[in-house]
Amino acid sequence: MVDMKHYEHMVMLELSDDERMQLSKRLDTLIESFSALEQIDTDGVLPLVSVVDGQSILREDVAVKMISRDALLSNAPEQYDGYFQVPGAIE
Amino acid sequence: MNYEIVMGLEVHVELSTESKLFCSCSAKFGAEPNENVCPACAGMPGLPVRINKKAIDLAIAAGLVTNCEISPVIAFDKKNYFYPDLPTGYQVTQLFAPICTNGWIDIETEMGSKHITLKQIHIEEDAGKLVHDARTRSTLVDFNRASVPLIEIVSNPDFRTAEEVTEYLDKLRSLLSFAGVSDCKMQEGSMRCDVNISVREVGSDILGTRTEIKNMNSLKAIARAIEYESQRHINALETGCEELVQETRRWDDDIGMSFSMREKAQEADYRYFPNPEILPIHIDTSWIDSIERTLPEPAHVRFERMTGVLGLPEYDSGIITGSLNLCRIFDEVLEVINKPKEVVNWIMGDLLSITKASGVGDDDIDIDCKKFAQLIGLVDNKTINRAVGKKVLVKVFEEGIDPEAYVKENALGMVSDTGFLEAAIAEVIKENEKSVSEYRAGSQKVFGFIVGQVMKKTAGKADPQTVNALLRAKLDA
Amino acid sequence: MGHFVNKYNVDCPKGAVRVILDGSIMHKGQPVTAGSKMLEGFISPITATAVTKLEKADIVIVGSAKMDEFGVRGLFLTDKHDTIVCEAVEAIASGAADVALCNDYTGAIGAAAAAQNLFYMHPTYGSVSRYGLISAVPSMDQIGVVCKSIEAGAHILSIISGFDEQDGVMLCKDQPTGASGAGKLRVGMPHGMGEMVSQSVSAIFDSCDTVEIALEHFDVCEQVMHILCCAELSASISRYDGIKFGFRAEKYSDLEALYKKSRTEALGADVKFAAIVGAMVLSEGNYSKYYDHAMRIRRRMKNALDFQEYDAVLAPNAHLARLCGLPAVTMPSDAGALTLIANAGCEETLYSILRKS
Repeated sequence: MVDMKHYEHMVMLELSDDERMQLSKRLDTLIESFSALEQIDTDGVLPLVSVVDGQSILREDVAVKMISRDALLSNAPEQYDGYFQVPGAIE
Repeated sequence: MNYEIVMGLEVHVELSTESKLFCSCSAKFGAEPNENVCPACAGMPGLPVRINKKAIDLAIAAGLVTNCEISPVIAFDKKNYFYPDLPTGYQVTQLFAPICTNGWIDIETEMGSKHITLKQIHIEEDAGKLVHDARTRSTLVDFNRASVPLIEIVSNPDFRTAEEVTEYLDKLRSLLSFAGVSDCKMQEGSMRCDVNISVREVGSDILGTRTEIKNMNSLKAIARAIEYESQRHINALETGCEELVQETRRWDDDIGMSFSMREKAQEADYRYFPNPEILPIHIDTSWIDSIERTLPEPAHVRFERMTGVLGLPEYDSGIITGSLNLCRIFDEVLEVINKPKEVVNWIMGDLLSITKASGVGDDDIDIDCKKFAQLIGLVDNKTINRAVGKKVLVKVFEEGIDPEAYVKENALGMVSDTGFLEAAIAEVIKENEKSVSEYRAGSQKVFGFIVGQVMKKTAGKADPQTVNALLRAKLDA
Repeated sequence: MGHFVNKYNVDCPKGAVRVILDGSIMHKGQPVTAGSKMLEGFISPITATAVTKLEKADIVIVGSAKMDEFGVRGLFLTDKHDTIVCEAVEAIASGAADVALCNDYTGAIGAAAAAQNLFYMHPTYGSVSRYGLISAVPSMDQIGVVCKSIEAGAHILSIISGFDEQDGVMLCKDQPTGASGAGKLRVGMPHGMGEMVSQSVSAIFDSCDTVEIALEHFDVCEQVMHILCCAELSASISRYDGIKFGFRAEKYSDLEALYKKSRTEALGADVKFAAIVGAMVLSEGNYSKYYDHAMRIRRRMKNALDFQEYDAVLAPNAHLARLCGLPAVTMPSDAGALTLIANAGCEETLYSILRKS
């Protein structure tokens, strides 16, 4: 049995007991399916991070202003004096 | 019981780039909140990462001046955690393949030389800034600093004293600022140092419980924090008054104590994984060579050369090598007037007193070096005297005037004509009977005053050497 | 509104091609949610490069369509009766639009398209700019097309693909396209596929040679997909925190509560599940066993493909194509959706095989 609460906390979720029970069952089934991978020997094989063989395309160091501050903050739930605002104390 | 303090440092340095690491927003310090922010560095979706080549260049430069091995292939990873100053909920950093490994820096302390070894240097992005607003009782977030490129320089636990730490940071600042990597200004946050500290009995091989202290904003604060924390560790071991736990602690310089940050480091599982949005970057020898070619002579090498080969005083050499800008000025002037002692005197004695009076820092002095050299030449070949030269230097610095033309236009040429000078001397002697008597009675001090009077008579233009000689002859006669 | 989450009321000149965008493709000034409540109220600040290119070619964008939240549901379909929400497919099927742009990293959209007798064409990874695509699984995200015919789809793909400097992971400009050389094309069929190829589809392959092939680890594609997609997705959605944009819970006592309440309330069950699985497979004790292991198996799968022996591979789903970043067409058949996969950059090979149908 996997400690769901531990992983919920990592991704900032707090499931109800019902939700947790349901997802827990799904998780157990999924982990069971992963056992098929255990036998596979991957010694000497490098992990594949990207399917593109090649290098990152690098950018010249030039500063460009893309968007006005007003436009940027227009999607914010709350803003104050040019800042993104989060009401409530944060330690 | 004799204890040994063991420390390792993690120094974060902001790279001197125009734009950020993963987007083209300006990376400059000091803008209004969220002015240097775009949807990408504010964590909005849909904008792929675009890596700033200059950040890689500067990281390579940092590795070169700290004698590191530069990795031939580098990659980036995601470090996952939630905090309001982190727009995407992960920091892009390098865990698996840092850009530099196994470097070293030699430092000088009162106990002699010390060889400090570096574990690695890696590139990562900075986070934004949080401001707590008491009036609205809210937290305000500014992403200007988010995604600004940083390098983190991780040392091995080679440090044993606070002096070693501050010497190291000074040396690091010198090396990195000379290489153009960063201006390393602790007060502006472009260089930040965290200290990992533990204590053990002298002679022991085993490391004690380690704590990390953060939030020291100056070298002095670092020294105070080390003093406090090491003592706290020793007290804990000797008296058992508290239990030492591996944790991160925040230094409060006003109070002079460190406070636990709730064992943050231990709890967090950052779930590092290779960033699939960034392809590897190959760093070949031609890239490294191209960076190496642009590196100036490091400060400590230049210091050796100035005091050794050029025979200049240590104090002066120390001041010049404290600023890459002063080195540049020195070099450019020396190219025209190959008299190191004179050039250094002009910079130290004349230029710096002018710039300091104007409140201009050494790194910001902007002067036409050819004109400066020309001015020195005019004094050197006795076209004008030193006092006039100093005044003209002010004009060169403030207005960029052409010294030769200026001297001509204002008839500032040195007066050495004996006849003219003798006439002026005769007048001064007449007008200053009291002083003359004092001199003839044996006072050497008053000679300077009388010379001064002659200089006044000639509107400052007389050749002081000639005046001296003629005046002595007249008065001693 | 029918199929549209957001219908643009635009004039559509007669004969113009009408394109519908799925909910994860951004259009400046328009709301975009990727099917998620977390992006409620979010107005896009940018337009996707793919959309800009279409507009330049006088193709009409008619609106954006409803989709499953970040497309995640498609990862967890357990049986044939499980369906996804993909109004873009419905819109093409009903004639409300001609072509849809979608990001079918799971392969479920292709299957839904095939069920409606449509095609889904997914380009080589890195050939279409992801600028303006809301990311789900970065190592697989691409913009593909739902279409009625291969020709129509190929036409759209040719317009939207191409180097874009705003996307740092793009194929080099001179990528070879298609080996439609002389002679019969060969289609590789992993074990069991031969029987699946029914009457309706075998006509296509009549003009090809078929070769039975063994693909290493083909049978664990799904597990590898689960691990990699959940891990990458869990990080891609961390930016949705209620701080900068989108949904924020009304009441919270402190910072942690802000995050937890906002995300728990707004994210759906499938996304929550994927995030938790992602956290699990990346966590310190499990990383080596799951995520790292899956990345190595992925490389094995890619290495196992040998496009010297065959020109294309026919598969029962799109997993292999997505894991290897290869161009693929999902097509209808009596035996369900089938996916034809070619080598990177070899879209032409797919067109050559399928045009004969």
